[in-house]
Amino acid sequence: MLNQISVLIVENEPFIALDLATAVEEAGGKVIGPAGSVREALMLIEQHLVQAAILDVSLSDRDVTPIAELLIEGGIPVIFYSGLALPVALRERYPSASIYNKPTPPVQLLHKLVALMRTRKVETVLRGARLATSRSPK
Amino acid sequence: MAASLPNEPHDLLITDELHHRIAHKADYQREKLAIQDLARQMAEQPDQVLPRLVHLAMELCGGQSAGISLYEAQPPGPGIFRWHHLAGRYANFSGGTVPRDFSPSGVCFDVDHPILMARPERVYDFLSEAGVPNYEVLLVPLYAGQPDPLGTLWVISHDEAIHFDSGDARVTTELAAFAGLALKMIQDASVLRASEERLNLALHQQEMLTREMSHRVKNLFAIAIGMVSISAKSAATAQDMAKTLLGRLNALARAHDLVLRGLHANGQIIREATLTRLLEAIFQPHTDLARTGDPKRIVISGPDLVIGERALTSLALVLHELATNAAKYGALSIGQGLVHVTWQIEADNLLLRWEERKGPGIEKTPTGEGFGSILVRRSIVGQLGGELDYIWKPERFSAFISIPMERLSS
Repeated sequence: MLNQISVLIVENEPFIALDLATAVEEAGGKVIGPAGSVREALMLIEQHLVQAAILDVSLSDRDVTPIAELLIEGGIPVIFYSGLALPVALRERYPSASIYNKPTPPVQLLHKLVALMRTRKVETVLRGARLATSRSPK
Repeated sequence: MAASLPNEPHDLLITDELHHRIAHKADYQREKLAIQDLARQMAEQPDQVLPRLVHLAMELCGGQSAGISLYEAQPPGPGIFRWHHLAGRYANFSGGTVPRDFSPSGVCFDVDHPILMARPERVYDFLSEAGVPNYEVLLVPLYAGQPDPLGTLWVISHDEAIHFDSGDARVTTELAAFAGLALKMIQDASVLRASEERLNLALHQQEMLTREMSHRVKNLFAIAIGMVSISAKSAATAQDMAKTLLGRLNALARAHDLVLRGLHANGQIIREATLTRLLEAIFQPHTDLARTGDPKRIVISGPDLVIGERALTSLALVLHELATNAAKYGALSIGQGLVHVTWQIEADNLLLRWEERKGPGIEKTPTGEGFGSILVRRSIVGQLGGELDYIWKPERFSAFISIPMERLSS
């Protein structure tokens, strides 16, 4: 299902994190992490190519905002998986963010992730097509 | 607390004049309208009642200044009067204070009925500050439901031709009664506001607590679901899985029990989960099972410290995995094995040492990490921001755990 896509998992509850990690692996994805803190997640983002992410909101050192901003601005599909509501700043900035409340079966999160990847691919293709048309000879 | 002075002019207090003078014809219609106006204002703008009332007293009596003096006790001294809502020539002196034992209001308090004074600045020098002669001052006590007055309402004539009479005393007394009522209402309203605020605060705390509980329950379900899922994947048989899962769920439940004990009384969360209590809770199933053994097989010792709710679950699961491991393969798997858990705090880190001796002995350092070990490492490093080291020796197994104190208390 995930076709070797590398998925960053940021989740500070070890059981939930490991459960998500195994689900990603079983779906054919590559796991980056799991990271339990913002600090750890930033290190992983620097070292790996992240193509999608599942983010818990409340982490061991602070809330996930800096990671979320970094990924969303980089055009990386992101799913929030939280027991709490999204921080106000994030919700205002990304009103259409995908948010799932705990507990949700990991496979449901992965389906959403695949759907997000697909939309993104379509967008890229469309952009490419537009680019191609604008460059077409007169 | 006599307010009269030895060298007081004999014609200072002229209250008797009020009754000797022929009262001017009362304009009852005007008074009635004025009172109606005040009543309406009391309902609509209670804070505007007193200034309006002072103006009315001035107008109805034909005075050129008026105001309210409210008594403020200042133990052990006799206290003061503070001027409020002054109008006319004294308008700029609002907020000023005069002594209880040296002021016309003080005299009015002493006699506890309306008084009239002539040229009071002859005695009370502060009354010359307005720069105009005070030919007559009419003062009436102001009550607000209590037998003792709260202050006075007063009117001053700066015009030699204007004299106050019993009619003015009556009107001013009526207005003073109204002022007392207004003051009481303002006080009651602020008391009511305070109790409303308290109620709102309590409701808000209740709501926060409910939300917090709901969040915690959902989170626990998510952890439990993750546990089932993980345990199912790593277990060889259904029985094995049930045993592992039950162990983990029970550890989680006992850790949670420590938190719940601290959650009551006026909506505040009292954190009582300490490391000692957590270790006792974790070892409880093993001490119960190992009845034949020496109770000193398990030794827990270190300075007690409070563990925050966030850290509690992961620390509980770490300690549970270590204890389970000890019971399965380590020192608690045979009769004479010993487990010593000792800790200290150094440079804002908790340094915990888990040591097993006289166990069955380990042939060699295990290769590869089991699911339990992955869990322990992930919890210590990923969630608690700490470090973990193992030392495997044939006669001894040690785990060194270091966790920043700030993470531990969060």
